[in-house]
Amino acid sequence: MGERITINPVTRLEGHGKIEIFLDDNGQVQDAYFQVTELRGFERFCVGRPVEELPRIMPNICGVCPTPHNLASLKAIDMVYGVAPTETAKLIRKLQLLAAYVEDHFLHFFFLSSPDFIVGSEKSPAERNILGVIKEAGLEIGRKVIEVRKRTREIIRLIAGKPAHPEAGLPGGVSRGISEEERGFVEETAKISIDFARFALKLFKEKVLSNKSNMDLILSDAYRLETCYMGLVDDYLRQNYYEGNLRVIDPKGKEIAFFHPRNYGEFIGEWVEEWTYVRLTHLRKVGWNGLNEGEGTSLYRVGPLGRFNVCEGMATPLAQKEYECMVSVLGKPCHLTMAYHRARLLEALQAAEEIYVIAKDPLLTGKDIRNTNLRMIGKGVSCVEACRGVLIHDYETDNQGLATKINLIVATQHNAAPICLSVKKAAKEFIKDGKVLNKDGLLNMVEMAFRAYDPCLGCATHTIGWRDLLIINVRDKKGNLIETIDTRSFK
Amino acid sequence: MDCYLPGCPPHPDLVVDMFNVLASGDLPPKGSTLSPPIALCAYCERNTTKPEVLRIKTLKRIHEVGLDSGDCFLAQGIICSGPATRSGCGTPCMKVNVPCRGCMGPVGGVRDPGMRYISTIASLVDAGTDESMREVLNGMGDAAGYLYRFTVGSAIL
Repeated sequence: MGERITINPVTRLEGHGKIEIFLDDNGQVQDAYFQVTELRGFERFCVGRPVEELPRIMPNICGVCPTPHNLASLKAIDMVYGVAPTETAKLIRKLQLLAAYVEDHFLHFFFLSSPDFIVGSEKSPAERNILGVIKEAGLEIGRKVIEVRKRTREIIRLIAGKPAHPEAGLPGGVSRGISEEERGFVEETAKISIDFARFALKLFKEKVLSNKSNMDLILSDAYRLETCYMGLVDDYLRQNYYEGNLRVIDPKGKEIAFFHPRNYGEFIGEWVEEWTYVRLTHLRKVGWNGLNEGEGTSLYRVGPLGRFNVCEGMATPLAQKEYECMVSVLGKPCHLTMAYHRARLLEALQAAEEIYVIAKDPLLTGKDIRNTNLRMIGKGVSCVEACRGVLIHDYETDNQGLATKINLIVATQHNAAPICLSVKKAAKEFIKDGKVLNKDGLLNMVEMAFRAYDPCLGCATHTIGWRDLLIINVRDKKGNLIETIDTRSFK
Repeated sequence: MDCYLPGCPPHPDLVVDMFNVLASGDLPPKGSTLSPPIALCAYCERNTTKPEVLRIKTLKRIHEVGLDSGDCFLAQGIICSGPATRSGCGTPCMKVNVPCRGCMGPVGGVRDPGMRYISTIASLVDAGTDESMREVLNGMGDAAGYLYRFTVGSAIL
C-alpha cells in the first residue's frame, strides 16, 4: 500500500519547512513535496505604508538575509521617486550588499552545509555540525569564520545601523557616509576576507572533493537535476550582485531570455499549488508544465549554481581563476546540485575582492551621499541578487507615495519547485521498497538535497543538528497513519 | 516565559547582559523586561538638541527633509517613536541618521503604545483649532504604521 513519509522540521536551513514523501503501492517514491508552512503577509500589510519606509520594513522578512531586501527596496523607491542615487551612495550600498555576501555565504558553508561533507554524511547529528567541522579542520577555522563574519557585519552596521535588520537608506542615497577611518577598516576586512575565501576554496578541494564518498554523492544521479538557470549579469555577462540584466539559459546552456528586471512580468510566472504557501515561479513563455526536468522544463534555478551557469565569467581576477578551474572540472551548464556549495565560495571570493576595490575608491568617503531631487513617479521595480538568488521588489504607490500594490519575488520562490524535484530524486535513492534505509543518517540525504539551495523561508531561526523534534509519520495512500517514527528514541 | 528580551533584534549587549544575569543566579521577577523601562530619548544623542518647549507645526516624512542636521527628529517635524519606545538598544538608528521606529517595544507601564503616543504627538502640535490640529496630524500619512510598527499585536483598538 502507498505510504507517506514526513520530515518535519527540516534541519539546518533558515525558516520552517516540511518535506512530505509519498510512496506508491510498490513502496517506491512516487512524489515528494517541499512545503513551506508559514505565511508572512508582507505583500499585504505593507500596502498603505509610506513607500520610503519599506526599506526598513522589508528586512524584517528575514534575519539571515535582510540586507538584499533593504537594498532591493531602496532601489525600488529610487524609481518610485524618480531619482538616481549619487555615486558615493551607490558605492556604499554595493559595499553593504557585498559584505552581506561574504558573511552569509561563510555562514552557510561552515555552519549549515560543510558538516555533511567535512564530518561525513553518515555520522550522527551530534557530530555533524560546526563543532564537528572544527574538530576535523582545526580550531583556527572557527576563530577565522567568526572574525570574518564579525568584521563584515560591522561594515553593515556602520552603513545601516543593525546587521540583522538594516535600518538605513533613503530615496536617492544613503543616510550615513563612510569616514576615512572606517574606510581603512573596510580595506583591512577585504584583505582578511579574500584570504579566507581562498582558504575555504582550498579546504573544499582538500576535504570535500578528495573524499570518495563525498564525490560519489556529488556526482550521483540523486543530486543531479536538469533545469534552466537565471541570474543577473553585467554588460560583459559577468556575475554582478547589485545590478544588470537577467539572463536565462536552458538545460543545454543555450540563452533563451535576456531582459531588464523591470520586465520580469513577461518572463516569470507565479504558479499557485494548494499544498504550499510558496508561489512557484516558472518561465512564463514556456508555460507551467509541472514538476519536470530536462528539455522543455519551465523550471529554473537561481542562486550560486544559477549564477555560475548563466555567467560567462567572474568580475574579479582571483574569482575568475577559481571559476575557470571549476568550469574545467564540471563543465557548463553544470546540473549537479552539490555544485551550489563550491559556487557559493566562489562568490564569497568575488564579493571580497569587490569590497577591496570599493575600499580603494576615493568616492567611498565622499560627502555627496544623497540626491534630494525627487519627483513622484509612483512605480518602481528593482532587482538584486540576494545570496540565495534573484530578488525582485515591485511597488506601486498613490500620488502621496503610500504603497498601493506590492509584489515580491524572492530567491527561494524561484527554487521551490526544483527543490521538490531534488528531494524526490534523493528520496528515490534512499527509500526503496517501502523501507527507509538507515533512518537517521540517510534521511539526512534528503535534507541535503534542499540544503544545497540554502533556502530561506523567511525566518531567522535554524537548527544545528537538532534532531529531537524530527517525527516521521508513515501513512497509507488514504492518509491513514501506519507508523510514527520518533527520532528522539534514537541514540 | 520568564522574561522578555526586547528588540528587533535584541542588541548584542542586551543578550550578553541577559547571560550575565542568568549566570549570576540573581534572576529578576518573572515577567520582567530586560532593558530599562524609560523612553529611548533618555539615551539619544540628539536629546540635547531638543528645545525646551517642543512644538510641531508640520509633520514631515523622512525623505522630505534635506541632509541630516543632527537635530532631534521630532523637533524637525519628523515622526520618531523614541518617546514611546523602551531604551537599551544602543540607538543604532540614530547613529545612521534615521528616526526610531519602535522595535524595542513600549516603555514600561504602557498598555497600548500607539494610543499613548498619538496623544503625545497631539500634545506637541502647535495648532489653535481642531481643524488645524487635524490638518497637521493628517501630514502623518500612515498613523497606524508609525504608531504600531512593532506593537499592533498588543493594541486594544
